[in-house]
Amino acid sequence: MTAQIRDLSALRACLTEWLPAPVAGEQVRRILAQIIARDPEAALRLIDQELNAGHADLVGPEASAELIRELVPSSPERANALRAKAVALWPAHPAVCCAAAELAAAQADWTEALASAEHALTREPRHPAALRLAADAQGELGRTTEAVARYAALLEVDRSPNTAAAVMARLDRLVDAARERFEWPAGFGTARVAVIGNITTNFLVQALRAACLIEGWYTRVWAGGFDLYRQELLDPASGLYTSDAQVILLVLDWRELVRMAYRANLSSDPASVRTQIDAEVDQLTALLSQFRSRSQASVLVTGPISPSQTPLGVLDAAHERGLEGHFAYLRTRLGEKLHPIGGVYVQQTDRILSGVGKQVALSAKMDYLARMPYSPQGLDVLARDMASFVRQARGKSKKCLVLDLDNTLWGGIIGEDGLSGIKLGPDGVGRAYLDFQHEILRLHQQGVILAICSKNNEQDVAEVFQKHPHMVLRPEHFAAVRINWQDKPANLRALADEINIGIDSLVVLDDNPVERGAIRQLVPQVLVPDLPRDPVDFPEFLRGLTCFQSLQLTEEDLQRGRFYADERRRQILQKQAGSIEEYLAALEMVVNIRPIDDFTQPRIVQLINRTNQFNLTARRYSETDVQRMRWSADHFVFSLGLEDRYGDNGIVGVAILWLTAADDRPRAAIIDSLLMSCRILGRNVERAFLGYLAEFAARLDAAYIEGQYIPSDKNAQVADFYPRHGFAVIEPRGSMQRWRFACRDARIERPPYIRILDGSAAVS
Amino acid sequence: MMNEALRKLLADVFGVKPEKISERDSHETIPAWDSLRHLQMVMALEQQYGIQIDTEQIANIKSVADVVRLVETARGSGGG
Repeated sequence: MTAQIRDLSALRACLTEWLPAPVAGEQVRRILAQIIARDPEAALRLIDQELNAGHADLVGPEASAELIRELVPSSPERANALRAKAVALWPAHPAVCCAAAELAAAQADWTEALASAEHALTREPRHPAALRLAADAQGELGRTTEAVARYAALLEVDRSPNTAAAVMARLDRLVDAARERFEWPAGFGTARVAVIGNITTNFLVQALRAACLIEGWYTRVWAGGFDLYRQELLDPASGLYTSDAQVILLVLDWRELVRMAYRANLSSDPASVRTQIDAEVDQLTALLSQFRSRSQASVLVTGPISPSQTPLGVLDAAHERGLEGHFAYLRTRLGEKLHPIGGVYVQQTDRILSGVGKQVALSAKMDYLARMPYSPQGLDVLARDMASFVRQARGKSKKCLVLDLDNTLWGGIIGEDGLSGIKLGPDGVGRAYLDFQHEILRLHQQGVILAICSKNNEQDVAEVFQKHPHMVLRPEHFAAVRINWQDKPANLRALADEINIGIDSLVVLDDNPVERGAIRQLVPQVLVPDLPRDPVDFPEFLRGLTCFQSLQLTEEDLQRGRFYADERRRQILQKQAGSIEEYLAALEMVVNIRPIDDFTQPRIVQLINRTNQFNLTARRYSETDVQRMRWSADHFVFSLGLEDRYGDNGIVGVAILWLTAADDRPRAAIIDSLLMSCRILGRNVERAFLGYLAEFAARLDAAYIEGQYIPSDKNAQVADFYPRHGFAVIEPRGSMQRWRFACRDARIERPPYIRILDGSAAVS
Repeated sequence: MMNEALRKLLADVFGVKPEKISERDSHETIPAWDSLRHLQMVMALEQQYGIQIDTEQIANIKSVADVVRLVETARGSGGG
């Protein structure tokens, strides 16, 4: 019978004798795919035949697209003819658009290639092949900025190490060719990273660079030699130092370091296993202390992975010679010894891998053949955690979570389903929303500012907050609310203004993909993660969101939520009070200015690196820098704390002052840095601070106090800060503008309604 | 015979243009084909085709033709 089957229609007819029609059609397409891969000529004859006979459904857009791609290199004319037919039949199908784009790319018609790829993306915004074609085309057309953003989007959907390697190599060529004569996309930064350790690092480096790009960081990575990390850490001439990396990843295979722990058996003496652990941890501590004494780079050390199988089985945990006990000891020791060095962090590698499971994350094959124990999936989760560390070490985290309401905080639509109809409560899917709200509350308690942006009726929403028995979030948790029918991008800009933070600090959670797309398009600085489609996945999704995480969690972070609640009450008072002066007087402000100490140092470092708007010079200093200034005889670092009748705002201001040399006449005090948290602006606290600094300088016998202003993207509001306070202009230095004030002869009037506690009197 | 998807995969692995890869190529003609890229290729093949390539097969891959054969047999036995 086979001899009679001359075309696909006949094949399908034959199969439908035994199979239902859709299944038969599916089988025909499978066979066609095989023919395309093996014999494109034959496939073209078969497909042409069916298309001419009007059996387009039998062929389908995917097979046509596949064949076009096969034909592109060998016979572009025939590929083009088939493309014309396919485009006529399925004009918007992503696979067909991609095939058309590939054909155009092969002929170096990049404008056409980009148009076709964009066409595919309008239908399917995360289509990997279309993203890659569009990015390639944009790169060729010199549109580097857009290409970078597109490649980042591609890596997010295609996480294979092979794509990562190819994309990063291509991106490097683009960036090098553009020689930085282009703008990074909104929210992108660059970082120098070094990877060292005792495994083969090449595979990890590729996954890491891809993961960093997804996080918005273009990285250059210096990779150390296999098992050379000790020498590299110790030798100041090594590439580790000369690479000038800002972040170091020390990737350790602990099996090589604490062999006794991994190979322990019933006859090994637990004490000697622990002695080996101690010796290794001590050596590592010494190496990293050495390194950190010479470098400010932040270091992440991978932690031990405990074996999922133990020889003793259940007994392992109960027996003093069990394996897990050794690992628990090792983990404790690592934390105890490495964290006090400062700037050194231990990755919880075992926990991170458990997210996908060690059977998936580890590969015996790669372990034995490449001295690299991870599978592609393992590399991916590890790299993502490391990328989050790179982001945090470079000091950027998001500050504010903006929430949609319907189908985000609760299931259903309040305007349609009503108070009793929405899903929120202890049963079924309602419990997922409940847990989701608890996770949001946790973020709030860690200092994340919450806001609402929803297309809704305000009254309906108010009813949910007032009357729904299972609402976890309360109105007082929110710093700002936009419930209206205006477009979300405009609302988000207004929200950022009201809260007084940069719009790039916002993260939006919205169940509606159309809204997400609009926000990404119109306010690309805002991070808009894709919520999972199913609400049962919401809580775990939020637990996995790393963009709010920061390496420093200060007292202020823990209380920031309350600060904003207080702020709303202050605003109510402001509406009641008549003039601004009356309002400020009614606040009963007490300012506490004191020299830096152990308790204030972390917050000072945090403010220096985070404050953008009220920051005269925007100079960023690391913990080490600040430490150095703290102990320097001619530098003075001050923190400013603010209390008022509504509560303690914590530390909200920092100033750094230094004195010119003693033989310098007239001697001057330079205000190197002056910054205030935007939370307390508009209360004249800055005037009190400046007045204090001028008097302090006079006490040190400085004739002048010098103010500096270095313009940045965000600090325009303080451009005239010094002249406004009676400072006289002096010659600028480059982009830095300078003013001075004769602090021995005059005083800066302090606002009468601010009481100043001088913490330095007691100390100095 | 080699299809375009496989050609692109190998081009990504070895960092060359797809048209530079032919079935006549081997680790002797492709300079970037070192032991690390060899394993990177194995990982990529396993991922893309959902196959497992065991260590003996890994050692026996010397040329593009070997890769094509390997993928064909592995996919053939897997039912397409």
